[in-house]
Amino acid sequence: MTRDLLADATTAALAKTLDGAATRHRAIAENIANVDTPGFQRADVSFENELQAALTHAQSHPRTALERIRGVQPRLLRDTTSPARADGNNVDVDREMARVAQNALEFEAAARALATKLRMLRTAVSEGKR
Amino acid sequence: MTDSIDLSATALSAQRQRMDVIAQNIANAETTRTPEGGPYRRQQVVFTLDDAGGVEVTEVVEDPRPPRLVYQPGHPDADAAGYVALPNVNLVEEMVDMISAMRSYEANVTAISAAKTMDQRALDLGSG
Repeated sequence: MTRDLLADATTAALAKTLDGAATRHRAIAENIANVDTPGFQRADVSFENELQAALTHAQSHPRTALERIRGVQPRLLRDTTSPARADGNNVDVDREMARVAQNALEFEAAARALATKLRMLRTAVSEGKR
Repeated sequence: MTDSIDLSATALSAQRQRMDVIAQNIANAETTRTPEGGPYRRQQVVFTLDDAGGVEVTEVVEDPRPPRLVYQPGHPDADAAGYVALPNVNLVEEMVDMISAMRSYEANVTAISAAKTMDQRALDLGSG
């Protein structure tokens, strides 16, 4: 029997979080890069709610859980509601800097959890050969 | 993630070009002779969003404000009434612009270092 060792909901959800945080970092980097570009509208990325919905779904439908989690796509949104400056730009650099730090921590948390998961798997694999 | 670093790098380059132009304005704040004739005219960069979400300096334009007229009858470039046309550069304005460019540059450096840390974490996943 062959089975993908990483085909479980936890790994998929953590991988998706890393993916989403990386995409969000790109959006924040875009906002910071364009802080002085007239008319620029800030970008944002949303994926947590969708991932949360997929994980809730996973509890009652284990069969389709993996597919559903892997199907979550980080969505890029344009913020048209934040107040803009006189030049039409609505980037608040202080807020973006805070978001860089927050997002990096989120990435770090998911990376650590995934590393733990992989370590457990490695232990199982190496203990089996003794 | 290296994509994010490239993106932030476009901003570093753009802010540096802005800084170069500010330095040129400050250096020429008293220059009365230019190849085009007349006093130096203040230059400013125009930032534009590029296709990949980064920023680029698409043009450097002249500030249309008129030159400063200062009464200096002894100056070789003074007109018949004794007034010299000095560049339309305001040093205080340039200083403020310089600080703003520096802060934006630093913000992008912070974004790059965060991306680097995240990249490093992702690489470490394989070597736990």
